[in-house]
Amino acid sequence: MTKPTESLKNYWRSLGDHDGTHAAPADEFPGAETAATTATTESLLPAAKLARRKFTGLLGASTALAGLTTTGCLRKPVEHILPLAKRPEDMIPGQAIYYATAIQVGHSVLGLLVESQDGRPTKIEGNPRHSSSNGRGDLWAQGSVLSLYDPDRCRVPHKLGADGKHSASDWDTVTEELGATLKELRQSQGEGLALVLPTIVSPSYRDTLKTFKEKLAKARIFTDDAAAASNAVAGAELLAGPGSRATYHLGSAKLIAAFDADFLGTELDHVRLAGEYADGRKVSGPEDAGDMSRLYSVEPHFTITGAQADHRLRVRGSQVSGLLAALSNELFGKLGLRLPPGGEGLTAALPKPELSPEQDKFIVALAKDLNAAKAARRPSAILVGERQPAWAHALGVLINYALGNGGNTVRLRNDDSAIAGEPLTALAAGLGDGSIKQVICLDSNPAYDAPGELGLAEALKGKVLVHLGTHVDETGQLAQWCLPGSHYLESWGDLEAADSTVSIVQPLIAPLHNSKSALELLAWIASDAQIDGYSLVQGYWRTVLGPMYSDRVWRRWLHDGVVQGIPRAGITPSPRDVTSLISALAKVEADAGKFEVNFHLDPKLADGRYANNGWLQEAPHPMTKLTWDNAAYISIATARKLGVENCDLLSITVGGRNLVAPVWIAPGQADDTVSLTLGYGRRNLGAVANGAGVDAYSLQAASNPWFVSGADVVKFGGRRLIYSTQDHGSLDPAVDPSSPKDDAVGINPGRGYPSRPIVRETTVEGFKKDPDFSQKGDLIAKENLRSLWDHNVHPDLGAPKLTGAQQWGMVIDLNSCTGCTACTVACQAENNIPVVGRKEVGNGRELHWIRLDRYYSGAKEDPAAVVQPMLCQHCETAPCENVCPVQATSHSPEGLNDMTYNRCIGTRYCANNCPYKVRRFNFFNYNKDAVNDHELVRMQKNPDVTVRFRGVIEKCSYCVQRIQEAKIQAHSAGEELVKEGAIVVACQQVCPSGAIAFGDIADPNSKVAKARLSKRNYGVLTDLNTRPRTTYLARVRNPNPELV
Amino acid sequence: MATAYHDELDPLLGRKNLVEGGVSYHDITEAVATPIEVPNSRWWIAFLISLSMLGVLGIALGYLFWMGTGIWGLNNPIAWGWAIVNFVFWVGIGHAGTLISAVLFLFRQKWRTSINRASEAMTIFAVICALLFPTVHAGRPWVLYWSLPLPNQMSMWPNFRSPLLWDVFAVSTYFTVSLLFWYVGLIPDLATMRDRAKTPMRRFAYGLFALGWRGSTRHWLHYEKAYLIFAGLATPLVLSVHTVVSFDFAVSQLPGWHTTIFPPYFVAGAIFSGFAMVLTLLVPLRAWFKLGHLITIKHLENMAKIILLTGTMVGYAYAMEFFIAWYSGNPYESYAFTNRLFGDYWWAYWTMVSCNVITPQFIWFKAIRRSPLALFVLSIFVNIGMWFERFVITVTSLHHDFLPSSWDYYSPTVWDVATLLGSFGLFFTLFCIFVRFLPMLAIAEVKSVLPQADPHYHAPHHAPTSGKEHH
Repeated sequence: MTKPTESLKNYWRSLGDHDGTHAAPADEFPGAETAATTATTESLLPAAKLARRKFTGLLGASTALAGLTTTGCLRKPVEHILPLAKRPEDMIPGQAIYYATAIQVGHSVLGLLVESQDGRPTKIEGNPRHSSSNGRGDLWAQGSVLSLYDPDRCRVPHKLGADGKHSASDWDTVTEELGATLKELRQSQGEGLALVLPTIVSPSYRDTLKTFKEKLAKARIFTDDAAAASNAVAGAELLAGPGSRATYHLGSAKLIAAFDADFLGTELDHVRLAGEYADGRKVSGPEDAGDMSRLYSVEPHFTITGAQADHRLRVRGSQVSGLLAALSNELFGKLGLRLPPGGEGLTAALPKPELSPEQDKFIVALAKDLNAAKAARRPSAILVGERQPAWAHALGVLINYALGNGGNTVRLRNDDSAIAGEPLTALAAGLGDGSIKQVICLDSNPAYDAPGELGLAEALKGKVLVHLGTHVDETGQLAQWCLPGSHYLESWGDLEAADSTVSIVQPLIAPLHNSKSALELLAWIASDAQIDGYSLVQGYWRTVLGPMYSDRVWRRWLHDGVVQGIPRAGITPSPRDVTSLISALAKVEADAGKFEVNFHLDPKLADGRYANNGWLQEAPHPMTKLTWDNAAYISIATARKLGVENCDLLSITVGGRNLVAPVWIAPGQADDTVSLTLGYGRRNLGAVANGAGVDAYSLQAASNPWFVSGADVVKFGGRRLIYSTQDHGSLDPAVDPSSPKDDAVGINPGRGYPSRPIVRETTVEGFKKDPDFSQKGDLIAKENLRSLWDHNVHPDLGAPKLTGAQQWGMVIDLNSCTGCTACTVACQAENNIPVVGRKEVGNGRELHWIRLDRYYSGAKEDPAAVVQPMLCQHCETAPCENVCPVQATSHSPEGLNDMTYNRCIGTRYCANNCPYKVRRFNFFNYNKDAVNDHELVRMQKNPDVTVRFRGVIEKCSYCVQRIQEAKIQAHSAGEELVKEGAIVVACQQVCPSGAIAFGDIADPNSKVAKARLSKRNYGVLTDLNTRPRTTYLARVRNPNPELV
Repeated sequence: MATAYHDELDPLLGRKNLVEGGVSYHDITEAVATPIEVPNSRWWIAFLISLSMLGVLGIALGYLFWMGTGIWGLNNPIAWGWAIVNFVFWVGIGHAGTLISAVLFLFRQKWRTSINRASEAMTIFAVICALLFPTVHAGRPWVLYWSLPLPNQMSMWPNFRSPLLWDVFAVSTYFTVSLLFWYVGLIPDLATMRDRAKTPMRRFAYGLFALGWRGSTRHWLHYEKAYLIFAGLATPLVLSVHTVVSFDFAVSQLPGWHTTIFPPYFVAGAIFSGFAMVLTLLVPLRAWFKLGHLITIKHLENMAKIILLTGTMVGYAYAMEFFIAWYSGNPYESYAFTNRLFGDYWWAYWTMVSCNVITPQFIWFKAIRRSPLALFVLSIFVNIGMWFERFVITVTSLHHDFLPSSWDYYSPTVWDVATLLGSFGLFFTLFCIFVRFLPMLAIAEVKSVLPQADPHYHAPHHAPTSGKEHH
């Protein structure tokens, strides 16, 4: 495997790419297109799952056809092969090549390196040179490669017939017929035309939009992007003028207060923030534990950020901004913090909410802590979440500046070329009054993701002229012309990250289907010129750079994935005055009481863009561990009040809109609130998405899409079975908050026993008092653990036979792990782990090799939470190995617990004897089912990893294929040992907080060997003498003594 | 009525007669051989019911092989479910036969002669059912032979450290020895059948398997020696099989499985369930085939006493498990056992305790242990209880083990039920065939316990005159 940083020439696709002669090689994947188009003939959305009847039908039909062929009526299909008589210079079959590109979700941009296996993109990794990813990633980016191969993608242009049904068309017809319509539109300067776009952070796209605006001056542009940081943008603009953007930087922050900000999960730049946050939580021993940052969180719904928090306050969504106002009252009033210049008059205008004693205590302590931090010149940061109104964002930035964090943990910058799209409310109004007659949606889906109050799904009927997207989504189904859009791995583009890092999006593969990118289509709509994406992007940068442009520069950008040396406007905005903030405060909506419904971006599906992605549907929700569904999350007290249990249906009515959703009791949820994640309940999107969850958008209000109060919530009657991968959430069986059943039965099976020492944690004070706290949980002291075997030369290295020069091991820092679940998806992508589907997860048969165990502790209503990644521990004396009757699992000399799939006969004894329960069984032939065995999905498979068959056990291999690659490379380089850092396993690679260390524990200088010497290092269930190779660094919390 | 019943006493020894009604040698041959020779409509009903249950097994296994073990209710923590429960259940049942034929033989317990043939047959059929389960429960049953030490060019060898491999050897050895033991014991009776056969086909078949037995003293000499040797060989196997089966659990480190008490506890449980199954089979058989004078109340009572003894031992083992779990101070261990009492599967545990510990205590009452109907009902309860014991051990230990994150619940699917039902189909089909074609009592052996067989026997004056010796 070529390592990302090694070779320059590997990073762009071909010479043709940067010479401007790039033409999509029509036949790069000859089989794929034929395969793709044949399936579409029968129905618009090819059924990925063949029903039994249909299968039998096809069987009969194919038998009949087989009969026909003998009479010579049918030809055999043409098959293509790739005869590389002369091998291209930089292509070695079987050796992966990495290309730099970038992906966008809302305003978040992640720089990526994408692994390409013989021309197929197979795995996404972070680009270490890109500031927003720093070589790391998230589960959305990890999952996006599967979306490329989604069999349900829109493959050919579709035209709406007179009968209201789509029929397959082709681009020539589109050019001709739609071209004529567009010509008329251009003549009328776009009168009555609406262009609906997602957040545009692409410089070349913005440039093309300029042309569009020139040509169609009367057309209106709307923004439809639920994942966008709109409130943050509006807040920054409120305070610092148009074009202002605020970004947070936690690298130096010692005190972080998150107000409804899930900055580790779904907020803007969460990957970078998670990394910076984790750096601030690094602890090497009791001596530096005090330097750790402290995190406060105020939120209605238990997020992974709340799980990390040292202090968490659960409040209604509408109360969060009030608490922020209370905090500023406390700071600017009582503690006498000075407002920045221009802030005069704010104190009087701020709302003065009534706080409960608990809230008051929290805010007072937080204000004191912030003030003390300022006095001690310790940077702090107040983060306001996207769900909160613009004024709260402005206030947050203001407090940050007052605390001296401006330019440090909070930075303002100017985004002068931003497109100010009108909101969807304006679109609804325009459609209502008839001023908008035609709508063009490029990569946007207002018929689905607009707030339900706007009724756009109805209003758009008959109005959508063009829809371009990867799927025939809800808007596509209404469109006159539903056009196939290119996936980002198939298209050229560029993206500017929130911190203004620009990267070029370069395709990894020619479009699999007959698709165009939104940029290409927009250029055509605007100017009637069919320009390919490469020319648009490269042409744009050629113009921007002018004489500075050279092929060398362009190639460097493509290689690095980061654009450098471009001219920038040097204005740095700062808080100007608070007049607009004060006027915004006047319009604050009051809480209408009753139940409050909160809406959240889904940690897995985002705004729904990954709804048809099997990996992400099946990834457990980071906190609730639900898969394949969203649910109405309510607190235990609310559940008691409503008389409901998990899976009972709940009827939620607000503003005349109604939604029936299953209940999931989420400890830590604010009372009398309901939280719903967006992105589910898709209407005929694809085989994976259909039937998963309920559509929360339909309940959203137009004025504030994120929370709405005054809702009526009642038990609906009936149940919908929804499945979580973790039923039990406590290490003390006596108190299990996620299992209200115990409560109902009145039985506490574990009463009287100490809670299980699986996860070990302490506080900073506790660590100082007892530096050996992490060893205290052992049931049997280490010196009393005796083994039957004589140990070999390395006294540390366990049982005999560990003769390898290098001994692999892993250390996971529980202080850094946020539980974001990116590792689960990365592992799935790397190791060809099939998707088992909703039903099989319900049967408890998910195949994930790494799971994130989430445990609650403390009070049932308002618990604290910890997460613990659990994967094969590669025990040196592995219990699984001696019980296998056929030696299908055995130990390598380098300390790996190897699994020989070919030898496995499937007795599952190893799974029973694994105390960590990390072994997974192929109960069915999952890899041969319709979802996993589709010819497109197969293209994603990693050729270095066996695709497992029915009846065998599988489990984490420590990415043995990556270890072997590194060993081969070291061997060819003439080195005896693999260098430290040469092996990066998939979960370690993606981990945004860098919680995982992997390497050679026999080398005392390796990072992992050093981590194993940490005072916090402990093994799980070492009392069983398993001698696990995966160990954990115990968690240290940093609570405020005043709040304890 | 049981209370009105009085045992006949041997006039010479004063002990209870093992065969009642003052029958002659010929009467015994007739009583045993006639049902085989004369078709019986009741047999056909039983056979057809069993055969249709066997058909269910065929469907269940066909679907299993087609789809995979996913059709059962197994999941991630509970990787062993009904298949293993059924395996241990059937192996357990397969214990009584060899115990009766071998151990009781060595201990000169002559009452065994009336019941050993049927119970040995039961053993063999139960072991066949048992062997079925580990075979089909494997994920890839078509390569199950890899667990045998077959020399191959890749030098791949099974793992001799695995209890599953010990199981392969233990159960297959037990099966082989039991089968041979049973067959050897059958030889004189097969010869009897051959001699009585009226059709050439029957004569040929019985003759083939009778191995030319002519009843000469030399034959008897060899026969007795072989029988004794087999009894000696089979006796340790009775103890070893279930010991090894218990190792499947005891050798692992799972709380609830990892206990040293398992080997004796499993053996006791096996004998307990085996005798219960013998009762379940023989009580109706002796009524239907009018064999009450050969399988007497005394026999039933003796078996009931063994059930009482082993049932109490099992109850002691249950108690001891709890004591050790508490005494060890290991929280995982303690939890595993509290979880049995009060956890999700409390009903399974209490079913087990009620059936296995409480039910046998009724046997203390003479009226009950001498009532065939009461014993039949009791034996059914014991069978149910012993099935649940294996369920409790297998499933409740797995469903809540070390890491609470993995805990899950297991419930069987229709295919689990069909496979269990089907295994009963297989068992009863084989048993029906046995009853139809082979003497279900050891004719020659029973004759040897008749008073007439005693060298000191003097025919009383009212002795039956039709005592024509006939083998």
